[in-house]
Amino acid sequence: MVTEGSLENLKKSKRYLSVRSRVLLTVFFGLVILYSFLYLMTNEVLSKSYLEIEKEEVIQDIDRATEAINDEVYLQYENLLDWSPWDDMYFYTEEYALEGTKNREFEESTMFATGYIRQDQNGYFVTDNGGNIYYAVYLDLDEEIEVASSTIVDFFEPQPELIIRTDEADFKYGLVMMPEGPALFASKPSLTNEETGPVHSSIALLRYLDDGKMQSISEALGLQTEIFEVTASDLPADVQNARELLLSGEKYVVSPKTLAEIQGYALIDDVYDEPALIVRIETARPIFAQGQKTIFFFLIGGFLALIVFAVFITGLLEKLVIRRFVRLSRDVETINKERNIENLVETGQADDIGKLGIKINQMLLWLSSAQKAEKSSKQKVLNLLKQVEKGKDYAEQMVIERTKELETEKARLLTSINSLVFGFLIIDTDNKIILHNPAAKSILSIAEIPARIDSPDFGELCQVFTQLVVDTKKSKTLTEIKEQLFKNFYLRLVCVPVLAIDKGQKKNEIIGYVLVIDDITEAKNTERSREEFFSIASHELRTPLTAIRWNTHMLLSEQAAELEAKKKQRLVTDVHNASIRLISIVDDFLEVSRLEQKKLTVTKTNFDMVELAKHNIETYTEYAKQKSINLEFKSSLETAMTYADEARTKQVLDNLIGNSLRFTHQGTITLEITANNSTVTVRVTDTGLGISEKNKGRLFKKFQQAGEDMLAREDSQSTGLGLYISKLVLGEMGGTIKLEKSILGEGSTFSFTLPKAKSLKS
Amino acid sequence: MKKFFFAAEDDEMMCSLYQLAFEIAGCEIEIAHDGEEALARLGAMEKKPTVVILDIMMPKKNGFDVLKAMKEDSTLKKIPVIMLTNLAGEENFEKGMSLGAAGYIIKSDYDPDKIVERVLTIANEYENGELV
Repeated sequence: MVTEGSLENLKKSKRYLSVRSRVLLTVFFGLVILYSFLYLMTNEVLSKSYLEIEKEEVIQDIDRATEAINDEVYLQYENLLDWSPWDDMYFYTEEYALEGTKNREFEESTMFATGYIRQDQNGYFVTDNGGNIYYAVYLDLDEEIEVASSTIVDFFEPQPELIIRTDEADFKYGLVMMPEGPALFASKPSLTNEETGPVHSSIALLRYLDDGKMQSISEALGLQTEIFEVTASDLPADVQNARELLLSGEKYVVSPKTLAEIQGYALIDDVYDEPALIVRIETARPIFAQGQKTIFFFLIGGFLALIVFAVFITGLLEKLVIRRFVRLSRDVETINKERNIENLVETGQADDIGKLGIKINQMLLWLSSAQKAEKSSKQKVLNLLKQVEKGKDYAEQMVIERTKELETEKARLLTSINSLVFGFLIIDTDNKIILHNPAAKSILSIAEIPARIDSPDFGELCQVFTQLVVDTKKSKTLTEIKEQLFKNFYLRLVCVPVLAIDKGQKKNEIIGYVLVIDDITEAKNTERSREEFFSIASHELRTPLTAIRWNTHMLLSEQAAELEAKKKQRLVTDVHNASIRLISIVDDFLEVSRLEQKKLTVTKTNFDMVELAKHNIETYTEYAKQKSINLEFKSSLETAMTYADEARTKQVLDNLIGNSLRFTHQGTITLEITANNSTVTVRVTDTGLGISEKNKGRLFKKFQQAGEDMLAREDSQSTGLGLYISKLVLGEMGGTIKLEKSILGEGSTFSFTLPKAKSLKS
Repeated sequence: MKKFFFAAEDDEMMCSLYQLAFEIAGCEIEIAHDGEEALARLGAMEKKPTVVILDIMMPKKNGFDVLKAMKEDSTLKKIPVIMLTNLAGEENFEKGMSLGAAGYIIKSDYDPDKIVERVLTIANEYENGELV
């Protein structure tokens, strides 16, 4: 992705160049390269070809020069041709050969110096067949005087092949390198006019190739021509270089001297065909100059053509590509800057750039539609977000409400659980107790519920609990222990598995247990008591009935006549007593029934408790005396006006005193009356058997004598309903009854309280 | 030879009736008034009674406990024991029989001569070795 930043960075970059500049630079460098190539090619090819042509021209000139010199050599020979067939000379030689004398006359008349000067010769000499130069003329042509001919003799005589001609047709010519300089030499036999021999001597001509001679050659050739001796030691530098090349095998050496002049070199052989002279010609360079001019114009033309081409190409590029490209770029930049992709770029001609423009426009349209789509989807997202926000608020509200509800629910549940009268434990699968209610503590009568059900703090129950959970786990349903004895209590244990309802967990997976502990001691006792009550009731009823049945049976039996009158009397008395007992039992039952059904009517009046108590005690005085029991009455009060049913109060009093008398075998029974602002209390204290802790809880209950102890009760003559009836009766009169204290073997204190008389109160 | 029975009964009225009924039938009977007294006297006896008659509801030690104690005493365990009571109920009957009682009689269900008759029957059966 190209971001704006990267674009800015691109522009700031040192390497940033506009396309136009790049194109211009490219064209410029292309131009330079092309021109350089053109220049090099021109120099290399054109210039060389011109030089080649020039060289050929120079070689032609060299050839002309060498030919001219060789022509001079041949001309020397031709000059000699006129001198060779001449009788006079022949005879002169014949005379010298045959007679050994020189014809002086002939010498003087014919062979004089001026004649040779005219012939433009430097020397003329005659050699006999033995190589002996016997006549020689040597001339200084500049001075036009004869000089000593020893130079000739000294030079030629050591080279007899040059000068000895014995055959009529024999000849020799060429260049000889004289100490004074190079010279044209020719030698031919001296013959008769008919060109016959015998040959006696040869004649030779010598002409120095001096400056004058070279001057005339140059002039004849129209070419500056110079010669240098090959062996010379003081040659100019250019000649020395040329000598090296020529001696190494080059036939010609051409070397430009200046831009305007060129020099050419070649060797010229001497008479022995040995290189002896270097010919140097020097000529102007019209061809070279022409070439230079041509090249110059060519380069100028090429340069101009390239410039035109470059301008044309640049213009064309500018028109076809750059301008449109820049336009396109600007358009895109504008779109970018304005961030308005509704604008389109200009496409122009239908070509690649046009296509690019169209593509960009397509892209822009696509982007635009995408942007619109994005906008709408953005709007949708925003709407969705709003909805989500609303939903969130709603959800939060819901969460708050639900949390509140849950808290309320939890509080309710906890309160419910805490208010349950039975113990309630929630246990996890690891036997850990997660929750428990206060009832659990009180039922199990332990100070603190341990953390686990298998804790030894539960005593023998830990085993029971653990097993119960194991059984529940196995059965996956409610498991119950209907009756479990624990510390004199009867417990009912119910264990219910807690099954997962969360979808995340396995269905029906047990995630914990609820353990309900119910104290059924009361119910159990009640149930047992009820059963046993009926046993007792039937037993109590059966006993007097049996007495009546048996006694009457006795009286009616055959043996009755034989019975003593006293015994008969006894039987009848027993029947009577049994009847009374039966009635009393039935009365008790009926009383309880009435009291329980609230059918008992109490008639409340104001009466004096002191008086009632005193009177009541009196009725027991005789019986107490019989049992050797001291019956005492204690009261600091003169009167104790009480508002209650007097007859019913007496019944309660009778019950308490009767009980004390029944369970006291020696000592004292004390009756005490106290009062406070609102109540009158009657307290009965005995020194009897006392009541065991176990039995204390059963006092004032309907079936207080239930249980195992029933069978071994001290008093077999009572239904045991007395205290229960007293409690109910007192309740009807707004009073209460309680056991104040009781110690086994020491005695008990019972007391009951009734409201004070209303009139006294007011 | 007069048959010798031993009874435990706390109700004075019933005691005199037992006395009378067994005397009429020509039997000798001794009566204790509570469970502890019964056991003490039984243990002290040189001549053990033919049959022991036990009431159930008695002070100090009930009839079942006396029966249990007798069955645990090697000198007394062979004496047949008849529970003679007004305590009805299957449960009590089962309990008495399981403790080893030879019979369980509800007093009010029978006339005294029938009771004596039943006690004698059991005594005879015991003596004839029919009941062990």
